Parts: sequence; C-alpha cells; structure tokens
Amino acid sequence: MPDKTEILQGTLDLMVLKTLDSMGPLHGYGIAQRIQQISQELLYLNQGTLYPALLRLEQRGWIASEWGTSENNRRARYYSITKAGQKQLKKEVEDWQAQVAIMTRLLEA
Amino acid sequence: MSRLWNLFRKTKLDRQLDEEFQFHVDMLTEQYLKRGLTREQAEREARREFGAVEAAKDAYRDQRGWPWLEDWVLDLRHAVRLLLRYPGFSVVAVITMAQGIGANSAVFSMVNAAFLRQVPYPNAARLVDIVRDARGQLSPPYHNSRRYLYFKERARTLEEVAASRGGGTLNLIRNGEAEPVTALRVSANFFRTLGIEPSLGRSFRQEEESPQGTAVAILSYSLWQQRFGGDPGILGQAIDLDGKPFTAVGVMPPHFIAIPRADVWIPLRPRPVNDGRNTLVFGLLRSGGSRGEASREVAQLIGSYRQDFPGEYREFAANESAAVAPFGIEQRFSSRPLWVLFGAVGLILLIACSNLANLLVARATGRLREIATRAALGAGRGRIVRQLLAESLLISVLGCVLGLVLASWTIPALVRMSPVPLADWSPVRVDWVVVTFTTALAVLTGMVFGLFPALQVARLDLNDCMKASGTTSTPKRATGRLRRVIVAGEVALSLVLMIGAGLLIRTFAGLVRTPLGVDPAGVLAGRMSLQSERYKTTAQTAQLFHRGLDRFRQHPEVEAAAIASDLPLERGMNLVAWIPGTPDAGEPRLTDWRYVSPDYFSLLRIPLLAGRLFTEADGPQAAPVVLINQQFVKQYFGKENPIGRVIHVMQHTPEPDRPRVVVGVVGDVKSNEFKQAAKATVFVPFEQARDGYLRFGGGVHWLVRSRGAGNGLVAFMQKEMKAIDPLLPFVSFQTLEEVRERGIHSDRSIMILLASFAALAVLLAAVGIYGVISYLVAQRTSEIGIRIALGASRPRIVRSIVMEGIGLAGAGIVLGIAGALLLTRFLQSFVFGVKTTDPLTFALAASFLLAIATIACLAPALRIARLDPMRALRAE
Repeated sequence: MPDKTEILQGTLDLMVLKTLDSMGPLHGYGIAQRIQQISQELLYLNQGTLYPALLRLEQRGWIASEWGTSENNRRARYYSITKAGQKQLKKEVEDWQAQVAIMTRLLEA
Repeated sequence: MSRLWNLFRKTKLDRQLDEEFQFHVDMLTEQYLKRGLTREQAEREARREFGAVEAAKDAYRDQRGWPWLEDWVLDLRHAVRLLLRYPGFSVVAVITMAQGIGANSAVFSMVNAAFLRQVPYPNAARLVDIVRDARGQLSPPYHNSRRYLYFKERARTLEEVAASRGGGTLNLIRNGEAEPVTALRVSANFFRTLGIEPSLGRSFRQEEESPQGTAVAILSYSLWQQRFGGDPGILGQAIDLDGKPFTAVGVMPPHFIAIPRADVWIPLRPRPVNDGRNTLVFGLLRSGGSRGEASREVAQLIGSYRQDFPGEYREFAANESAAVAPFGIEQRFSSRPLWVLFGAVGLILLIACSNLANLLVARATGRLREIATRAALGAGRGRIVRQLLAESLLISVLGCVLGLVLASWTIPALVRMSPVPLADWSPVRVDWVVVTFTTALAVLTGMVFGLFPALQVARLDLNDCMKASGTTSTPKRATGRLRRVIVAGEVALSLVLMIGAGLLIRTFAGLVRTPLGVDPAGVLAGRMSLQSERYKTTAQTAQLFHRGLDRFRQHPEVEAAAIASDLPLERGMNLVAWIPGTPDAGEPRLTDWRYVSPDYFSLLRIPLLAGRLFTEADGPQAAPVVLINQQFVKQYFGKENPIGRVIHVMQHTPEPDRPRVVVGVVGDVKSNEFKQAAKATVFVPFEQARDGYLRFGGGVHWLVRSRGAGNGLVAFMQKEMKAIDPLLPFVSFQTLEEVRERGIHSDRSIMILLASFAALAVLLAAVGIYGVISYLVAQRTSEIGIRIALGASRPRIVRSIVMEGIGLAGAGIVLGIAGALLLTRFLQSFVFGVKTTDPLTFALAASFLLAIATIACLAPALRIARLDPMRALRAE
C-alpha cells in the first residue's frame, strides 16, 4: 500500500463542498467514497472525522441535510449544498488556487 | 449529579447520530463483503476505515455545542465539590453574601413598593399630578380652586382634569348613634379619571358640582357593609352626616383602594376664588399623549393665569410654573429617605463582595499549583477563569437564595420602623420584581467580583508557580497586594457608613435634647370633628367647650383641661396677616394661627414672657386680643415692643377681620418639624374666633393634664361628652408623648437603620481584616519561625503583625474620610445641629474602626507568637 497523505486541516471542508456541488445530494458514506475514489486511494481519510465536518458546514449554512432512503432501501441522511455553500465554494476555490500559485512560485524560484 | 446529567444525555440527536454512523459502517462492511472478505473480516476492515466511533461521536458532539454546556456542568460540579470540601470557608462566604444581598433585597422591596409600583387604577399609566414647578424643583400638586378650574377649562393635552380636597371627619348618624367617618370632596369626574366607577349606583353628575345641586354621597364598600349591612336599598336614601342629609348615589367596589383614604365621597363644588392651596389637582393624559407635551401646556397655562390674576402673583414662588408628574408624587416625595438607606445597603454589598473576592483570591492562590498543573495539561486560560467564576457565582447565587429568606424575615421589622409613610395599596413584600432584582444583583456581583480575582490568577506566570515551592513564592505576593487593596477599600466603605450613622446619631441626640417648648408628660388629647349644624357659630361651640371643660375638671386626676384648634408639635392654620405700623406694613406675613382656651398655656407649661395671658374676661364682647410667641416678635417686630400693637388678618376679603391687639408674648413651641425653628405663632381666645373658624381643619382638640397615670381617662371623657351631646363622638385619643414620638419617629428610624447597617459593615470589614492578616501571617509562618528561633522577642513579632494591620486600616481610613466628605452631603436634609463634616464624628468613627481593626489583627498575631519554631520550620 502506498503512503497515504493525511488530509490538510481545513481542506476537508473544501472537498466536501466540491463533492456535493458536482455530485448532488449524497449521504456521508457516499461523500467518503467519492473523496477516496477521486484521490485514487492516495488520501488517508478516517471516515468518522467526516461527520463533525458535515455538522460544521451545516451549522454555517453551507450545506443542508434531510433524511431519505438509500439505494439499498435504508434510512440515510442526505447532504446537499446550499446557495451560500456554492458561494463559499467559489471563494474557497479561489483562495486555494491563489495559495497554490504562491506556493508553486515559491518552490520554483 | 452525573447520573442526573446522563438522563438528559441520550437525546434524539444522539440516536440519529448512531443511526447515521451505523449506516456508514454497514455500507463499508458490504463493500468489503463484495470484495470477498468474510463477514468478520469485512466488519473489522469497515471499523478500521471508519475510525474510532466514540472519538468521532465526541468530536461530533463537540461540534454540536454540547461541550460548552458540559463544561459548565463540570465547572459547577467542581465548584460544589470545592464548597463541600471547605465547609468553613463556604459558610462564611455564603453568609457574607446573604447579608449583603439580603439587606439590599429588603431595602429594595421598600423602594419597589414606594417608587416602582403603579397605583391600582386602570388608568394608572396615563394619570398625572399637576405639580408646581420652580425651575425643576417640584412641589406637591396643591392649588387653589380658581387655578384648578382654569386648568380644567383650558387643558387640551389632558382628557380630564380632576381634583379632590380633604373633607375632614364627619359624624355619620344612624339610629341615634354617631360614628366618625373620613370624607373626601371630589370633582364629578374623579372616579372616571381614575378609571373606576361605583359597583353599585353611579358616580357624581356634573350638575351635582354646583352649589345649588342636591347633596349626594358615594360610600366605600366597607362603610356600606359595616353601617348599612350591605343593603342595596340604600341608594336614593338620605344618610345623615352631622345633621345634614346626603342622598347616597353609589357604592364603590370592594377592591377600590382610596388614595387618600376615605369612607365617603361628596362633591367638591369648587368656586373660582383663591381659597388657598388645598385642592389636589390631577389629570388624565389623552391616549397617545406624552407627559412632556402636557407639561408644556400646563406651564403655558400658568403663564397666562398669572397675567389674568396678577393679584395672586405674590403667592407665586419666584419663577414658579407648573408641570405634570406621574400620579402619586406626594408618596414619592415622602419616600425619599429610602434612597439614603438604599445607598447604605449598596455600600454593604460592596463590602460583602470585597470579602468574597478576598476569600476567592486567597483560595485561588492556595490552589495555584493545581491551577498551574491544569494549565500545563492544556486547560485554556478561559477555562480556568470560568472555573473560578463558577465558584463565585455559586456562592453568590446561594447567598441570593439565603438573602431572599433573610429579606422576607426582616421586612416586617423594617415596615414597623419604616422612616417613611407606606402606602396601604402597595404592601412591602418580596414579589417577582424584588426576586428579579435580587437575582440580577447576585449574578452580577458574582460575575464581577469573581472575575476580578480569577483574572488576577490567570494572569500569573504559571511557570513561576510550578517552580515555586512551599508557601513563599513571588506570585503570591502579587495577589497579597490585591488583597490588601481590597481590605483597605472595605475599611474605607465601612468608615463612610459609620460616619453617616454617627452624624445621624448625633442629630437624633440633639433632636431629643431640643427644647420643644411644652411639657408633654401626662397630657392626653382627644380630637373631635365639629362639622355639625349645631356648632355653626362660635357662641354654640363656646358653650360646648365650657360645659365639657367644666365636666373634665371634675375628675380627681385631672389637673387642668384646655381646648386647642391644633395640637402643639403639629402644624396650625396658615393665615396671612398684616401688621400696621411696621416699615413694610403692606407686606403679608405668614402666621401659624391657633385658637385656644385661656388654660392652654398653664396646662402645657408654656411660659409667659411679657404682658399677660388670656383671662375669662377676654370674652366675645371684649376687645379682640391675641398672644404671640417669641419667634413672631423676632420675625416681625424685631426690637420694638409688641405689646399693644395690632394684627390684622383677612384684610382683603369681603368681610375683613377686626384688628386684634397683642397683649402678651409666650415662649416658642415647636411645630411639626422639630428640626426647624418654631413658626411665628398667633394665639386667639376661642371665644373671639369668627363664626365657623373653630370647625376648620382636623376639628378641635381637648387637652387634659392628669396627675396620675391617666387610667380610665379616655372612658371618662367619652362618657362625659356623651352626656353633653350624644351625637358628638371623639374621633381619636393620643398622648402628647405620642405626638412627640411621631415627630421624631422618622429620624429615629433612619438613625437606627443606618447604625445597624454601619454595624454590619464594620463586622464584615473586621472579618475581612482578620482574614487577610491571618493569611499574611500564615504565609510568613516559616519566616517568623526562623525569627523566633534566632531569638526575636514575641511581643516584637506581635507588634509587627498588628502594625501591618493598622497600616492597612489606616490607608482605608484615609480613603474613607475622603469618601465620607464626598458622600455625607446626601445626608444634609437629615442632619440637624451638626455639620456633615463634623470633625468629632469623623474622629470617633475613625478611632472606633481602628480599634476594631487592631482587635481583628491581634487574634492571628497572638496565635503566631505562640508558635513553636521547630514546627514552623518543619512545615516548610
């Protein structure tokens, strides 16, 4: 198994927002799967830590949740991105890109 | 405690969380099953990938906002444990706070009753008194009838302008029995303005206000029940008030509380004349109208009134105008002494809080290492402050509960000796306003005085604390300084209270010694109302007086009997007089006018200073004579000889009085206000009173001086009077001692209350000094042990410790004197015969406090001096 990268603090929020933005409503398991999949298993995600992040995002009004039925017919909580969440996502993506640009320039200099 | 908490733990949110987590883990398990793992392996892998479930839940709960609450509960539990661990400390702390808070709660309940409650009328919020206003200096809402009518006709901002005037005591005659009842003359719109109508019958009609209207009356519910058996048939019937028939038209509801108290209401019937300031005028704001708007209008009206009636101008105080004030201003005026008491208990609370803060600093200091350890283990500074705060809050809240209990115990005593008249519609009790105030006070003081030491501790360098060993360390000295400052502050506050109490004690001592001008011992006074048609003329009344006095003198114990229109030590009738022959003879002179029988002066032991007293010869046919008092001479005659001079009253009325000749000068007698000089008084023999003038005011007083204990004298007088006129009962009896007592009651009460508060303050301050010195001594135990071992003499050690305490007290005393110089000015109106900066009071209070401080330090000092040096060193 290759070395997995720990998730940088604060980036989990961004990942969740981006996932919900592109995938539509998902339950916690679905979000975790998606993040693992995209990172091609290079990311070490302690999936339990996803939930405090989801609650935090919900408290800020960036995502909303409601109980629904899963593909295998079980009750599951589905999360979806809100308008405010989309705005926040846009801002965070810009911030992130700015940061990456700075870091890149610094490292290449 | 924790189990109780668990009950609330399993919430719906938690169950949902469980479900959500379970779903996630199940999905993961399924995924591993699909990859071909056994169920056991799949479950293990799933759990691994999800991570620690409980940790995730904790993190989730943290996010959800529980820890905040949980921490508080933890802090509270911690605080409770600490309190239980140090019961001695806790009891002292809670009792200290309970005293401080209880005193405030009790006095506040009086303030609440006197100032914060609205009168119990539906229109209370819109009711206003129309007061006289001299540049912000408000006077009670009394005006003459002409002014009342002027306001009533013109005021647009007021929906109603109503008025009342004391109707004195009338005798209700029924079945040959007479019973005195209190009457109030009211305008036709009086009840409508208050918002309360009779529950039976109706209120007065406008036409009943006119002098030609039929005589009508409205009864109070209790009078109707007691005297008429609650018979509704009374409506339309005539009731007999002192021989005059009044048709009963209404009965007020039982819950109606009359202000001022009355049993029967009769129409006011105002005439547009200047009949003296004795009509109480109030109004009802238009709905939506403001007091400011109404004030502007009445001020404007008084301006135009002045122009319309320039003759009345002299009666106006300089710059006098009018304004409106919330209804019941008289009650609030007379309750003003309460603010002094409220200020005093405020200082006590400060002292109590200082003690609490001091105890907390001491405790926190003692726990510095524990706190440092917590900080080192990662407790945030905020968390540490919060923990200390929980402790002080717990103490102050417990103190609050106990304080409320103390308050409700003290209230009856406080009411009994209240220095202010309490309104019977507003009982002094612990109601929700008082509870709210007290709780807010407790929480606030707990926060502020807990935060103070908590921040102090949190600011310390914890590294130092960890390094410091034993009981002597740098940071402690820092908090030691704080404690000293607090104690000095306490001493200062209690000195301020002591000086205040001292000033009032000296005032009262002076007041008791002040010559009243009469000898009240053994004098009994019975009051009666002479409103009856049978006593319209002076001749009729004089005959009654002669017959009564003759009969009273028959009693073996009666040394003398006399008549007085007003009691000594109470106010007389205000009349304006002119004195011909003086430089400004045209100036009206205010006099205190009294009708008396010739024996009045000898009975009361009032000395004759010049001329002669009245004799039986000064009868109705003789030349009118008067006696004046010394004050009158001083005020209006100066150095001239007053004997033979003339005094003229009611000069500008349609029927001017005859000039009356001064035949003698008598000694001064205090009027109702003992702190003021006697008023310029004129005595007139009752036989020379003008018709009708003997029935004025509160009626007439029969005075008897008895040689013995005066037992049975009341019954004797009642029996004799009944024989003369069965329909003329006495309204009340009192001894002159009681009248005198009433005159000093308020001063005595304030003095006793303030002295008790000062005693409490000194006690608390002494506890504070004792605490801080004990603590400082304990800190220096090893040092002192070494000094003793090295041969320091014990008296020297005791001296050095006591000096430390005296230094503290001294600093506090200097501060306290400065504070007292600033604050005692608020006692100006209470102090008499002594300046508010009286050096003797200041010196006595300061030395007393110094003595108490010395005693408080002596105990720990002596204890340490007996110390065994070996033990002290081993303690290190």
